[in-house]
Amino acid sequence: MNEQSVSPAEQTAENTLIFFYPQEKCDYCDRLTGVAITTSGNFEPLCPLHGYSAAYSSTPTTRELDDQLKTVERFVQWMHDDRGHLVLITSIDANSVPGYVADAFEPSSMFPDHAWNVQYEVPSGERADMFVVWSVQWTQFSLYRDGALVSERDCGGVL
Amino acid sequence: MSNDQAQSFVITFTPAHPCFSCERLTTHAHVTISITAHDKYSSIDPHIDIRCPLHGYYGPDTLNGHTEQDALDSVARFVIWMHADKGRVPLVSSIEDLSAVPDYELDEGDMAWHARYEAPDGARIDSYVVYGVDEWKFFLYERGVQVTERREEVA
Repeated sequence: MNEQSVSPAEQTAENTLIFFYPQEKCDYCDRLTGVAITTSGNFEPLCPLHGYSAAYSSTPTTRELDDQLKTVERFVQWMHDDRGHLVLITSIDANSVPGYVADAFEPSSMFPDHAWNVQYEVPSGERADMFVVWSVQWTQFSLYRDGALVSERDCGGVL
Repeated sequence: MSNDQAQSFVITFTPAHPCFSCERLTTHAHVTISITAHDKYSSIDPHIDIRCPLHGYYGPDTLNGHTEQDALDSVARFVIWMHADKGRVPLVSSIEDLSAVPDYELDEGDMAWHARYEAPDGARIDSYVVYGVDEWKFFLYERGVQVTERREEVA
């Protein structure tokens, strides 16, 4: 086998989520992060708020589907001061999220927002239902709980 | 002529990915951020270069932001890898005269270094490392001959 004939594009025709060290700045803000998405040689460090691991193509691989859920869970945990975990994630239509209003300027039929219904469990065992929306236009997650947008993290940081 | 500038840094990552030159899994990569001379405030196309120790030569060049130290580090990484990822390389220096490398057949454009390897028990081996530009990989020479096998697997 000719080792030089293997190109990066042939090897990585999918988005892959990596956890790296040392940390770098998120591509969208000044937060430091140790998570990045790589695609065919591109490297994109992303914080929990901006870090949705979308599929490379319209036919996601098993790993891409797994990585998508990992980034949703990462965002929810980050919103809760990096504690607890998700016990259930279900993909849903964004328009069915209580409190969510689609951006009027967004060409919704082309790139609709992604949404999930999640069940979050705090370390004490208490569970809560909430919703996560990924805005394609603003490239960031939003958390909805009790029919309203959650605009602050549990540790006090304003988004 | 390109006016591009670049910065490069090393990351360790998980899960391991295949090397861009072979199928060996690795957790080491160089990331390059190019900055155009016309727009110094916007970086473009951060690029990740995933290479195993055998193929991972990061030679000094301004386009990728690799420094002389990056080159020496990649030589040391290769030597340690050849010794089953044990020990250390306290000394690496480039050599100009490749004919000084015993058992090596001169090939134009190749690069060479002298590397001192120190095993965990303190034993030292003075070795030579050649990077073959045609083969895109390192070669190790110890005790006057080319080393063709790692301590744990065929290189």
